Order: sequence, then structure tokens, then C-alpha cells
Amino acid sequence: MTARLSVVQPTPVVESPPLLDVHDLSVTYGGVKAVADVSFKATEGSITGLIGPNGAGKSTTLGVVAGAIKATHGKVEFGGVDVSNLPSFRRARLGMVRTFQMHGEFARLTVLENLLVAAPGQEGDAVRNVFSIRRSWRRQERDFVVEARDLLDRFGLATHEDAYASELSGGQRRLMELARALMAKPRLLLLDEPMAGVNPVMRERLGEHLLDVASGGIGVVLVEHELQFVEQCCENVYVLAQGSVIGEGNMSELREHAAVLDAYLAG
Amino acid sequence: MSQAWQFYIATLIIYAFVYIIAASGLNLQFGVAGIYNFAFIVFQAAGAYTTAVLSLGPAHTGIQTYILGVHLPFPVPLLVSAVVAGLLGVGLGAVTIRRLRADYLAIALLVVSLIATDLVTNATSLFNGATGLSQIPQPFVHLTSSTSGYDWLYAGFSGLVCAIVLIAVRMIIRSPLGRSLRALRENEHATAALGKNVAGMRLFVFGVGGGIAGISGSVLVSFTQAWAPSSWLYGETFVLFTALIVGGVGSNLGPVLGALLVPVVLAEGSRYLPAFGAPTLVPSLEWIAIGLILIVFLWFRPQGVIPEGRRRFSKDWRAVAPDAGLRNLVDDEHPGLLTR
Repeated sequence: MTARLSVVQPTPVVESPPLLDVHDLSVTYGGVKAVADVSFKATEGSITGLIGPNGAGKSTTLGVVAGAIKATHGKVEFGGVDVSNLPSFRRARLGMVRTFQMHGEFARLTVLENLLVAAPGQEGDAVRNVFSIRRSWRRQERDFVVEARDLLDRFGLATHEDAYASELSGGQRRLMELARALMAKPRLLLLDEPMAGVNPVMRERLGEHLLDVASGGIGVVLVEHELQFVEQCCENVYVLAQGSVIGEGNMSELREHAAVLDAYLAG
Repeated sequence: MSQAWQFYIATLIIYAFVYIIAASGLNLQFGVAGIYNFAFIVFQAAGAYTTAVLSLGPAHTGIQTYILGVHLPFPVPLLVSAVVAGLLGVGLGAVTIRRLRADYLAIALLVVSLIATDLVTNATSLFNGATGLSQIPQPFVHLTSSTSGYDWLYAGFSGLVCAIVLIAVRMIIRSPLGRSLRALRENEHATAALGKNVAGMRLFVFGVGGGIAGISGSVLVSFTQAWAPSSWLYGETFVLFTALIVGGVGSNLGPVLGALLVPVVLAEGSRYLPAFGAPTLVPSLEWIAIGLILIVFLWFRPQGVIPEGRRRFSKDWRAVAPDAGLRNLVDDEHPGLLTR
């Protein structure tokens, strides 16, 4: 299949509460502000980009939103609920699922197992069920396997289900991570440089899948250096530099933005 | 077979079962969940001391001093030992794993092990100091009058306990919880990002692994009838780690094979070496041999003799009518997003 990505056409604006609303987020490390008063929003069914030069604070921002890094100041609202004080696993259970810039896979688990870990509400994860003689979780496990295989089929990884994640190529790992994130039934995906180290063919496939995901109603926040891809996928883009948001809009608008050009795009 | 040989073989079997139990507990912590518990032997000691003070009865000043001192019927001391060691595991885990990971956790736990030995050695009122506790009652003496009969009976009991532990560990490893624990071993942040309570999982593993270590200590002390700080020096933890790495980390049978090969065969094999050099030379060579084996396996075969198996699922578990997937949804409902 050789589908090509095209620039997202502007769609009529429909006012709906943002899925993710980040207010004045700051992170300070020993007096150094890695993130300074960052605010941005993401909505359901759209891909929001976070771009910026290296060291701009993009991944740190994503880490704070996901709950992996503690904010010094600010608030994160998800689906209208303040989740600022929730640990990352609780945010994930609410539907905020994150992928990682590097090494996000479970290397010595098979590809299928990687997806199964993500299945929400597993009965067999509860200690009381583990020791049940009837092993009541087996039926649910079977359903999860069916679901995971369906996702692997969709992502072209079906033939690799018994391979260890460490045996996949870089691009395949990215696909697997995305499939795994979908297995968690997310409402919002936080993707940290999903295109890093991915070859052009795989990039196109990954891009198609991301568009599929967003069109299915899932919100996506994307940290990415690959600007062409950002332009093709993201309806709204925030530019970060030195820990602060210096611009917002679509990529065409941002190209005219002096501060953005100065900080990033001109380079 | 002479009575001495019967005693020797029964003792070997009992020790083998004790080491298998302990290695299985460590496998759950280190092999499955990736926690470097360098204080593992402390939990075995906790189980042994708990069984001792719950079996010995009131302390008679002048002979040996210890805390508690009650005589509870079997199997209460064994069960309480498992609970005490498990709770100790949860407590120690709650303190250490909140902020420490990997190497730093390992260092902190190694220090805990050293402190615990020093504490018990010097605080003589706890468990009779360096001399340790002795004359710990055997649980089944009333069932047989024959000494060798007792040894075989106890070997059978140890085997039963070992089988129960192995089945319980296997149930954990093969469940979705076991899969989540292996995910935790591979990548803690990614596991948490998928909605797993990693702190809770770590505490669970600390508790269950500690409880199993406590059981191994209880079974051992009820046979040897004596327990002292010299029985649980920190080096014993590394014997178990070596057993696990040799046998196979993360697998069900790895700890069994490793426990048979390293502590049992190696330790017993050294008995047959001709005496030479200083009296402490042969025991020292034993430690050197264990260290060398550990390094050789880590270098050439880190997965051990029986590696962790690759989990495969029945190929029949497929959707009857495969879902057309999101792609069709995109094509049909959002044609603007893709161009072909």
C-alpha cells in the first residue's frame, strides 16, 4: 500500500472543551528552568504538535503531562479533570498513554506480550485472581490476544508476534509502540519523537497510522523534529524554545512568525 | 545403607529443597521483576529466627537469651515466619524502593544486610548474639522414633513445601501479573505509562519473595536446630544469585537447576577435596570458585543453562471475522486525511 500523506485541509472550527488543557507549566532543575510557564491545549481527534530546537523542553513538557516528571508549578487538566497530582499510572488509566523517545519497548517480551501488557483492566493482574484455581482470567486473556493480533495485523507486524521486541528494527519498534499504546484504549496519545531513527518507508506507514488514530477520535500530542511530517499531520503546532512557548498555529503561519524563525525554523 | 549415609543423603536433599525454595523467591524478585535484592539472605534469617523463637519456648537465662520465647505448635511457626519475612520485605521495600532503583537499590540493600548481621551479632538480647540459637525443636519428632526415619520424613516435608512454593511462583510467573512484572523488569517508566502501579508491584514482589525466603529459613532451621549470624552472612545472597544466573534467570526450572548445581554440588564437592594448605583454604577456594562461575556465566551465558522461555499463545486465538480496522474508517469517513 503506497498511500501518501497530504496536508490536512482546514475543517470548520467546532468549539468543544479541550481534551488536554495545560496551564502555566514550569519545571526547574536546581535553579535552571527547563520549562517556563508552558500552556497548550489538545483536542479529541486531532494531532497537536510540539516542536522546537534541541533543549527546548519538549520532552520534559511531555513527561510532566504524562506524570513522569513533577512540575514545579502549573496545572494539567485531562478531560476537564485536574490530574496534576496523579502519578503516571493513574493518568494512563484515565486514558492518557505515552510513548518514549528511546527504548520504550519491553525488550525481552515478545511483540504480542508487549501489547498484552497494555490491555486495560486485566483480571489476571490482580493477586487474588492469580492464585484462583479456576484461572478465571483465561477467558479475558484470550479476548486480549485476539484484540492484540488484530492490531498487529493492522500494523503489519503479525508475522513478528513471537519475536522479542529487541529483535525488531527501529521502525518496527515504533509501530509496535504505537500499537501497544492503542491496546491501552487511550483517549490521548503522547508521542515523543515517533519518527526518530525510522526509515522513510516506515515513516510513511507510521504517519498513516497516526492519521488513522486521530480520525478515530483519539487526541494526539506529538513531539517531533521532522517538520515535514508535522506539517502533514498536525492541525495545530506549538513552538517551544528555551522552555517557553514562542509561537502557535499551523506550520504555514509559523513560517511567518519572526520569533519562531529566529529560534528554530531559519536554522 | 548405613545410618550415616542415610543421614548424609537426606541432609543433602533437604538442603537442596531449601536452596530451591530460596532461589525461587529470589527468581521472582530478580529474575522476573528485575529487583536487585542484595539483602535477600536477611529475609531467610528473619524466617529462621521467627521459627526459632516461636518454637523454643521461654528463654532460660544463662543458656541462651532471645526475645519472645513461646512454644507454638507446628505449622504455626512456619506460617508466621513467612508472614514476618513477607512484612519485613514490604517494609524494607516501602522504605528503599520509593527513591532507589537498580544499582543504588542494590547498594542500599547490601548495606541493610551488613547492618542486620552486625545488629543481631551485637544486640545479644535479640537472638543470643554471635553464638546464635540452638536446640530448636524439630516439628515431627513425635511421629517416628527412628533417627533416619525422621530425616527422610523431614526430607519429604521439605519437598512438599518446595513443591507448593514452586507451583505458587509458577502461577505468578505465568499469569498476566507475571507478564507485568517482566515488563517492569524491562522498562519501569513504560510499564507505568501503560497504567501499571509499579510501586505496588514492587512491594508485592518484595513481600512474596521475602515470604518465600522466610519459608526457606524456617524449613532449614527446623532441621538444623541451630541458627547464628554466621549462617546468613551477606555472601550467602551471592551464592543464591550465582545459582539463579547459572540455572537461568526468569525461568521456572532455572532456580531448581541452579540450586542443585551451585550451593549443593559445589559446596558438597569441596568436601571431597583432599585437605591441603591452611584450614581455611578450601572454604576460601569455594568462594573463589563461586565468584569465577558467576563471572563466566555473566560473560558467556547470561541467560543461564535454562533460559526464560518465549511465551507463545495458541494460534487459534483469532477473531472469526477480522475487524476491517481503522484504515477503512479513515477511507470511508475521513477521505480527506489520506490520498492514495
